[in-house]
Amino acid sequence: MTRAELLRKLAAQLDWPDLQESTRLDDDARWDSVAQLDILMLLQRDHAMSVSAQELQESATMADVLDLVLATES
Amino acid sequence: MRTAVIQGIDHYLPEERLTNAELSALYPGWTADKILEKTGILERRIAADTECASDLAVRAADRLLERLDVDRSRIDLLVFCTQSPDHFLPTTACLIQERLGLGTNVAAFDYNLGCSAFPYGLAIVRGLIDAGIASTALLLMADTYSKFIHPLDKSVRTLFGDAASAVLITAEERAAPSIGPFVLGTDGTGAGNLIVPAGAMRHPLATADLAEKTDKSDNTRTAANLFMNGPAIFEFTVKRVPALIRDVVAAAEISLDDVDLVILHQASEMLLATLQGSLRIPDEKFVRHYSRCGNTVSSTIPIALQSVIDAGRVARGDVLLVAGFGVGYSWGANLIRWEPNA
Repeated sequence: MTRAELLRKLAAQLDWPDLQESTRLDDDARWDSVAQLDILMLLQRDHAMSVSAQELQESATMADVLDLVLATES
Repeated sequence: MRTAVIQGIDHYLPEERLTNAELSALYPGWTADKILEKTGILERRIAADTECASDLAVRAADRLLERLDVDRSRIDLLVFCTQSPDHFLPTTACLIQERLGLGTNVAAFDYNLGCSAFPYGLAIVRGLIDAGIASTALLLMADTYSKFIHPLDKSVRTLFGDAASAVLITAEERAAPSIGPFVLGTDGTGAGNLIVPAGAMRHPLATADLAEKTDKSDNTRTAANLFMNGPAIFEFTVKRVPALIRDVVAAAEISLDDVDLVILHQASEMLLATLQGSLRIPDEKFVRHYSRCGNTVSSTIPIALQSVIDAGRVARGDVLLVAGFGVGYSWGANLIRWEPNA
């Protein structure tokens, strides 16, 4: 999965069309526990991948989330 | 051989209903449809202000004992699980013994677990029966988490409902154990992810604990309310439970294909859908029963089990797999060969 594909997939899952790598998550109300659960469920369901919830919650930007997921995948 | 056999199950749900429409009115951006999509729950039952865990448990036990026409003088073991006891002390099981009119020869005690309550309770009761210490046991579970939940904390209020369940287990002669094998486990590093921080001895309730705080997800709570780190609980569950299921069928030297029904702790639709997919369990073997009661913590498995028995989905001799997991972290799983007395 490429970085761009992953970003598109997460944006679709979160119904967050303007989501970019540079999007700051730590001050966006949309980045709540439900959004984090949505991502965890998507990764588990479609990729049998379990990423760290704590690291996901501590991600400051969407780029951090992509780094986390791709590092877990590899 | 003498071994413990489940004879019947019943439950009680309090009268008050909390619907998604009522909740959506409290939480901006959360429609009733969104709550249903995320949780799979249409409504939860909520105990009245004056209704405690013992009240729910007595109702469930009375239903079961009357339905099975049990001579109460035969009961010699009462095991009660709750995380919302009537009092710090005495043990709630002692209050229930008196209210059920059981004899003073009854061994009665509480244990404190949440979502893993059912397999742990079965392990305790089977151990005491198989050892010859008890012969007729009442396993009761009841929780009133609603009393811990802040009304404006949607992360938990949309999920949890109050309930009690009752299971009658007796000593019988069978060719092999009817309940088991068991796999039980614990990881206390997750304790802080599902907790009521204040109110007991580690952190006695002080005025400052009643100050409301609103988190980034716009959920409000005090230190005396239930807190759940949903993503952390999800991570724990999807990592732990598939291995738990594999371990218990391996311990029984069978495969998952040999199991007739799988009844997991009814946590939420998101979790159950993920686990069902991970374990590749077909719909006809995977039990879901939470839409009208929510996640009732200690009672989810017995309520779901009763639902499939009442629906005629369980035949004598069927092999059932039950697994509970959550607060603690604590987990447990076991098999049940369904073979009550005729």
